[in-house]
Amino acid sequence: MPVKGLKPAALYRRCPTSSFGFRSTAELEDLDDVLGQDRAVEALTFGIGIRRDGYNLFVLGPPGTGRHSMVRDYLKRRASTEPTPDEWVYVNNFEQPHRPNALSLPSGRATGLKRDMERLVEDLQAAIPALFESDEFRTRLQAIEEEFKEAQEAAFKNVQVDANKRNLALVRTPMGFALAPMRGNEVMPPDEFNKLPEAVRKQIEQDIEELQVELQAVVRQIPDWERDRRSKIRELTREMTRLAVAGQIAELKRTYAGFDQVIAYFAAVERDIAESVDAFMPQEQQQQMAPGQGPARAAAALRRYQVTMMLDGERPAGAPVVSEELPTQPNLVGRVEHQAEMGALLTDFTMIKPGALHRANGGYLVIDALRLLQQPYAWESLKRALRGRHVNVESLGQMLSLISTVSLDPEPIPLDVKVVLIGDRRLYYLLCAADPDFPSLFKVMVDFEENIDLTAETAQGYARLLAGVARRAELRPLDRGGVARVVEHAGRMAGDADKVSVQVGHLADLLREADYFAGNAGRKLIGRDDVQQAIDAAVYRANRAAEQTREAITRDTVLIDTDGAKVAQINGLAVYGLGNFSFGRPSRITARVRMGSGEVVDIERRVELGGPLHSKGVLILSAFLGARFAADHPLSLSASLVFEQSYGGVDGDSASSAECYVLMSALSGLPIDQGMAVTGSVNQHGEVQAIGGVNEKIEGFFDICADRGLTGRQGVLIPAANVKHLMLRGDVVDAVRRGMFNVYAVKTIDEGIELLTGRPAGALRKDGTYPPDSVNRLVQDRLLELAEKRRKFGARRPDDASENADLDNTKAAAK
Amino acid sequence: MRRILVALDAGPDSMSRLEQAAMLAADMQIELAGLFVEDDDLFRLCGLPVREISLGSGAVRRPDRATMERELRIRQAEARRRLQDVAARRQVSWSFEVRRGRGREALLGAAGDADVVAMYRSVLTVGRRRGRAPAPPPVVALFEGGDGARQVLDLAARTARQQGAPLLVLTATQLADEAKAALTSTGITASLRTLGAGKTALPRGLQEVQPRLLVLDAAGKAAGRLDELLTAADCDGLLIGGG
Repeated sequence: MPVKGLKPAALYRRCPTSSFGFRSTAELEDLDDVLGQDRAVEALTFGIGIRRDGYNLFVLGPPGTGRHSMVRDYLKRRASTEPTPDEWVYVNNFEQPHRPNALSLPSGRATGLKRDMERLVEDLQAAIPALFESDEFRTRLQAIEEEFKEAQEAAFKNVQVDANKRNLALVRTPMGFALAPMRGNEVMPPDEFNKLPEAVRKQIEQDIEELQVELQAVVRQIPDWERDRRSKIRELTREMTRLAVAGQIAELKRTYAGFDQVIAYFAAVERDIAESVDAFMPQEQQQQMAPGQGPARAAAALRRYQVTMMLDGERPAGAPVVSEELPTQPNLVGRVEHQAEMGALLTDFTMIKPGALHRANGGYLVIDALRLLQQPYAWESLKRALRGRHVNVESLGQMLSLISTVSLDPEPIPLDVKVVLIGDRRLYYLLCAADPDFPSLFKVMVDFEENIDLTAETAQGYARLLAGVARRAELRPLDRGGVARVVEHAGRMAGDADKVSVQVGHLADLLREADYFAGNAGRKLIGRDDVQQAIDAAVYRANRAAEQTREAITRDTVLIDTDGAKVAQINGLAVYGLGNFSFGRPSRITARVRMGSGEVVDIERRVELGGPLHSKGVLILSAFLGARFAADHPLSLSASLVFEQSYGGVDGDSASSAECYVLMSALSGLPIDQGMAVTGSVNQHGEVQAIGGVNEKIEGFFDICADRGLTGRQGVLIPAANVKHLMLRGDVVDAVRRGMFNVYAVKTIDEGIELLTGRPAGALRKDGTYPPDSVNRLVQDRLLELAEKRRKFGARRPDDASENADLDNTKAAAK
Repeated sequence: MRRILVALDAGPDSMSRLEQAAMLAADMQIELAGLFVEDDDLFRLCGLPVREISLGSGAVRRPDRATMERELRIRQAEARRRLQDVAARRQVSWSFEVRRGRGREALLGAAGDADVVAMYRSVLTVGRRRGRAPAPPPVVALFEGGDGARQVLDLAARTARQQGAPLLVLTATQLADEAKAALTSTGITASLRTLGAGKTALPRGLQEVQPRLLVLDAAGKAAGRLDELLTAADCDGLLIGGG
């Protein structure tokens, strides 16, 4: 009993609008949760709830399934109920400035500390100069200066007095002092000196030498006096500064009582200010104290009392949820910036910038896995932080020894963060296989479905999903027909009549485009026609390549017959994917057979245009033929199979049933109806198995037939297992309804060959033969004939059985 | 007064003098004029069998003219830069001049009638005596009557105020009433000390007082004994109407 064509109802599953209890999606509330992602939601709940090392999450699934928004929304809801974590700041380490200290404070207090330190510096900038302007300080300073000056001047005066006694002058020169003979109140002119008697001159010279020793002794004392003076001034300065600072620091210590680290920091600040009092003086005074040091240096001196927040501004209550859109290594772990000064790159702790890990500390960090892996060293740094449970600001340049300049080694900050990576499945499994650290650091897999079962309940949920999408995107609401058409399209996207795709991203695009057409038509609701127009328009925009391919066939550049019958020639079907668009087109497959040693030559494979799956299909069908028709004698044929006019690669086994039919045609000599196209893979028992892209394949052949004019005898053979995947275009369904096109669902090769040849396949009888004139009998006989010939031929020329034994299959058919 | 003329040699004393002169110039809104004197005595050293001892390193070397001139040029540039800085800071106009001569004579030679001259002790006067009075040294105004007396008082008062020092007016017994009247009319608060008769009374009085600065009138008799008085006072002086 030949297989009958499928009914139109089997070709397209319409979404019934009767179950929709709304007129438009405006009446519907948004979905509370994500549609059909129960497994993912449960995994997410578990992953977030479990507070153990390594229980970070990897959210996997195809793009557009709402992974990002669902994770973000879920985390925000959860985080808002959690305590706000402590805030971290960096402060100067006065002992080792290149190793800034990290301090933690309860939320909000860090900002307070920053403000308090700024206020302290401001206050001291006023208080310290005032202190140094005070009578007490000036008097005490003057006393020190006078003491030093007096000691120095007195020493020189003594030398001068001694010199004067010997009528010598102590002369101040640009660089120091000199002793010279006097004439009255002035230095004796040299010519006068030379006129003096030699004895007098010698006496003067001797006096000068003697006093010179005395003068040198005084000069040697100067550094000691200077040191003594500096020390006294320093001590005075310290004493006065402590006076100014102590009160304010004591108040700060009271404010931050209980925070031991902060209290210790205040103590260090107090000590340091006493040593660095110049920084608090007005700029003009600093210039006097240290000429040549610019205002920048002075400002830098005060910067060391600043507090560097490791957060960007205020954050709301609850645990933070941070999404890092550009997960570079510095954006993750923070960076130390540098400032050019006098040609050198300088830095300090105020130039430490927080990374996403700092901002997310105590909460959640969401990162796109692919973007993360695309950034050099970002993945390694993230793993290091998670393994070590602390975040260390690392300079990439220094890590790689690309730059050698002054840099910092900030104290690591303890890390308590749950990282959520979002990526596709391939990436997840790739990481599992390639990175031994990955499974131990990302123990929770949150797997998103791309398709869900279509039930009345999910259809209703889908309507609410669309309502939410339309509302968020500020689109027109959909009417029931619009919703139904979108659901049907989602079924087509899923490639399954019983399922719908939940790739919300694509659906949102479809709604936007449908909204555009609804607007053009002046409608307030998006209806079925608008959705259909959006789908058609999207297909039209994308199918230039498909149309070119079709044109090549209709103009007979690529040879495809769509009527008549031919031996050893069949229409196979292939799917081509270009970006997000895929389309089907027929390919002519031909076979040649001759006497041989049982091999079926896959020409595509020989020229490296065929992939391994295709070769596997060919080998399977060879095995099927051998087992069915040559169980008791050698399979004595040599066959070749080729995809005619195929210049690209061929892969997949979906053509193996077509290849089987064409071989049987070649062996039996029975012509194949060229109005048929075939898809489906075959197993070793002759069963036809499901393939992918069934809708595109049927439509691809239908389009060619339609272009040439439908005859009513044309159709496509598909595996019966693919019937549930049928969501065909309206024009195809309509043609089937009118009896102008057919889709046949076949389970076995026998069913298929009957449809293609119009002759019964023939069931195996007890004697091991098939009924006369059946397809199988013709094939069997032909193979027996080849085997016999080979036997005879082999007896004559045992070494070269196959050579020059080409038997034309058409000749065989004539027999 | 048109300007205040200050001798510069880029040494520490010179800097302190410059600072004080700049304060005065800003207070009186007059020009700050710097004079760098290349003292003849320094060049004479170059022809004598003497050694120069460096203040910084204690190194001993024989002075020669070329080195001396080079070092003076360096000092000169430094003095000019400092003058410029101080004038900018105090926001006063300034000028700079270099002269060669003998210390104070060169300074007085550069001064005009309308100048206040910041006098310094000569290059031959080094250091001060030990054993100063415990009280802060005063600015001393030498009151000799006549037209310039009020200017002397005014300038001394300004300087004392700026330096936070007491003001002491020294005058002859016969001028005491006139000095009191001048102080009263100008509202200047100062101590008054009269000097006995005799030529040594003034230098002796200055030795006792040990002033930080001596202010006197160029038209007065004391100006003729400037060297002697500054040596006795062991301090710098301000001479009003230097020409």
